[in-house]
Amino acid sequence: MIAFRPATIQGMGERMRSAHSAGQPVGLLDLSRLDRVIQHVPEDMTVRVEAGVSFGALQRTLAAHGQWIPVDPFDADRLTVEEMLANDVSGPRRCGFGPARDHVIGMQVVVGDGRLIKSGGQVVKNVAGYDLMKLFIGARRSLGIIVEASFKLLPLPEIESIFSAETSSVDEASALLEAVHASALTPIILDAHGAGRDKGPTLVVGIAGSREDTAWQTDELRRLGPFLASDLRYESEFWSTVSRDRLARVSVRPSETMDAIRQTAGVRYVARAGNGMIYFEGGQPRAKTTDPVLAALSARVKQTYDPRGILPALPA
Amino acid sequence: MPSTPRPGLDPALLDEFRRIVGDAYVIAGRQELLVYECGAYTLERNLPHVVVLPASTEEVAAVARVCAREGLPIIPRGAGTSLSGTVLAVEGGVMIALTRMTRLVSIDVRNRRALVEAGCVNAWVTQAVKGHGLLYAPDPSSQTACTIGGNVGTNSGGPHTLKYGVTTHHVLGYELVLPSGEVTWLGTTWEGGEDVDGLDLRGAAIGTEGMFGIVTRVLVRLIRAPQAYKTLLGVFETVEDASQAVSDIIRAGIVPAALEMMDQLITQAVEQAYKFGFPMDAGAVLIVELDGLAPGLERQAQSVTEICRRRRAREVRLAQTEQQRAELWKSRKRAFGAIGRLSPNFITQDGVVPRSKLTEMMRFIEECSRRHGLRIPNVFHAGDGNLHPLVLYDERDPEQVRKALLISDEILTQCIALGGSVTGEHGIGTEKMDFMAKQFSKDDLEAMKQLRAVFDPQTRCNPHKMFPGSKKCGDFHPKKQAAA
Repeated sequence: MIAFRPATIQGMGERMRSAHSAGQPVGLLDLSRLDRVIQHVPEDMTVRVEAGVSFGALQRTLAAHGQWIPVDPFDADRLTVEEMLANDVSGPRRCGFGPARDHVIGMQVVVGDGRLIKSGGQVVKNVAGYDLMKLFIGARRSLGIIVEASFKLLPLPEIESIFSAETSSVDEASALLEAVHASALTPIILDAHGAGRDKGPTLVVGIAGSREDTAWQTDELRRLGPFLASDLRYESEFWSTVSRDRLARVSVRPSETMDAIRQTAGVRYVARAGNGMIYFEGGQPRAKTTDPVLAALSARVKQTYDPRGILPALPA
Repeated sequence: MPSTPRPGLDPALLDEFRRIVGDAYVIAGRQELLVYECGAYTLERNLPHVVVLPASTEEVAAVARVCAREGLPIIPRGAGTSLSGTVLAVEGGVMIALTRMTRLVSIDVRNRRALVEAGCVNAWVTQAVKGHGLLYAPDPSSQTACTIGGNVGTNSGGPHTLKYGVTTHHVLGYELVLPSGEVTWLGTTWEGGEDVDGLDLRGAAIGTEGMFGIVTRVLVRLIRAPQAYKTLLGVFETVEDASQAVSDIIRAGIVPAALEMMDQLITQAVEQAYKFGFPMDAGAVLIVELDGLAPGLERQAQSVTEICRRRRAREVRLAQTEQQRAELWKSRKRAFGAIGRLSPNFITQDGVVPRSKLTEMMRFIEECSRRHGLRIPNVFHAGDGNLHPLVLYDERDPEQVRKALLISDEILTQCIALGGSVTGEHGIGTEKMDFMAKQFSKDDLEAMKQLRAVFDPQTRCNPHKMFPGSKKCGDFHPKKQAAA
């Protein structure tokens, strides 16, 4: 099946309207032609883009002005802004900067009945109207297709350094993690990764800021444990080889991260220890308890914006 | 002895409410209801039929079920500090005030979270966790009075949102009693992780101004208190120079925790009221707060000082002690309270412009002031481009009232024209609903109304707010604003 590749936002709207009229699934979509950077005003520290733009390319454009959207999904060059937002993808720096939704200030969406709707705007602080943007971020295209997005930006840090420490057991890693957490450090990355049970998790700490600030943090970190200069290779190795069919994610309170790692039963994993997220291979489908009131609300939201069910099902 | 009840509600219903919450917690006498006729936006006022003060989620839900059965409007209310008429009982109805649900239920220091009841006052949270080196970041100027539940309803901001973000960034989850009386929890639970399966209804319902239900408990995110602060006061001859300095600081890649401006009129009023030591003859002052790890702050403070001097700052002062810093912020946050020295009445606006348009917007406000002959002091979140022009008038002069409303209209229209928004943190409420049609299309507004219908199909919860063309109060009395 060939994906529909709209050249304009209006084209996307027409496609959706006709699918809606016919009551037919909208089918595969490829937004890669909607790749314009509509407006980037460096002094406002905001950017407005068509959502088919490659996230990696966008970050390079911004970097030329010393700015960035502080979200760091794996393989950003092969990810559009729309995919990043619809699937709520983030990376290790989420520890320091929060998830993608925290940086979106405006959005245009073609909803399941073909209407083009706008929420938010181009300014960094705005409470006019409801925040409809949150409905579509992480909704996996179940309610509409994001066709335009605006972000607030941050200056790129002067210096970023990444360190890692090997451990021999989960207990040792846990103690080290607690020491980092309790220290005065302000990590932007706090990951643990590993595979198998023969050794403990590797703990990764990223710091960023001015040279004075990062120099101080580096000293502090080295005082806490055997941290050595490192990089994010574990991240690309994991995501480039993990089987998507067997990828599982659990989200726990950050204090329970190491317990969750113990339960991964010796498979490969990457954990965002600062946020309590563990990604691993070979997950079993979890039994979910669904609040019936919440389920009814979600179903009504779906019915509202995609009344004929031409878009994918709600995320489970 | 309670005064005579406001007519229009079946006395049997009052008894039913009394059975749910207790006799002392149902307010139905005309005199007693006067407290609830408006919030901090006082241009419009109306009495609710009854105010019910529940003590638990179960009581809120039971009251909501009675309202659902009887088809009665519900008006959720926290501390009543809303500046946009969000807590106004436009057609009367049952006001559910959360002011008895004030408990800080639990603190999880390790995971930096706190569970609070909706009526818990914003500042109490930071007060309670300060000893653990933590704080709750959103800090509206009314933070010593406003409630966390109200903050969720308004998606409140404050000076420090420049670096730390607004309420939606700091609320992990919350309990919501729907207008039907059903109870649900949106977002992260006390036991759960921060990523939640399914749609982000948590995020979509924050800032809906009490139109989706009644927030009863909130799980907030705490952040680590900064290791150090550098708080600078830049003194400028003109607003224009100060505005340029704001742009330069942002452009230099510095992200201050807060970046606030006060012009001459407001600085004089604040100085007379609080005696901080602000210069009375300066055109404008900037408060620039840098925070973070101590080692990095020295050089940042130097950069800010240099930028200010390049923009002809006459003086740049550094707060020398924590007490000086606290006093500076106290003066800033109580600025609205000093307006009484300038004028019997004022309207405060809350427009936002892209930061590069700040100078242009300030010129426009000055020009408005000259053209209409009303004074407009400014005290605002310059770093976010979030303005708070205070249009001064005397309600005894109908011509001044007319002009004050006209000026508000012109300022907000200009904010939209410059690519901004009519509200950065105060909300739409009843005050700015007609501007929604200028900022959003018919389809945008329809999509919002549809989401509301998901939560409240009968549009009974906080009716007549947000959307253009909604019903207004019969009596329209411009009155002094006792703003927070």
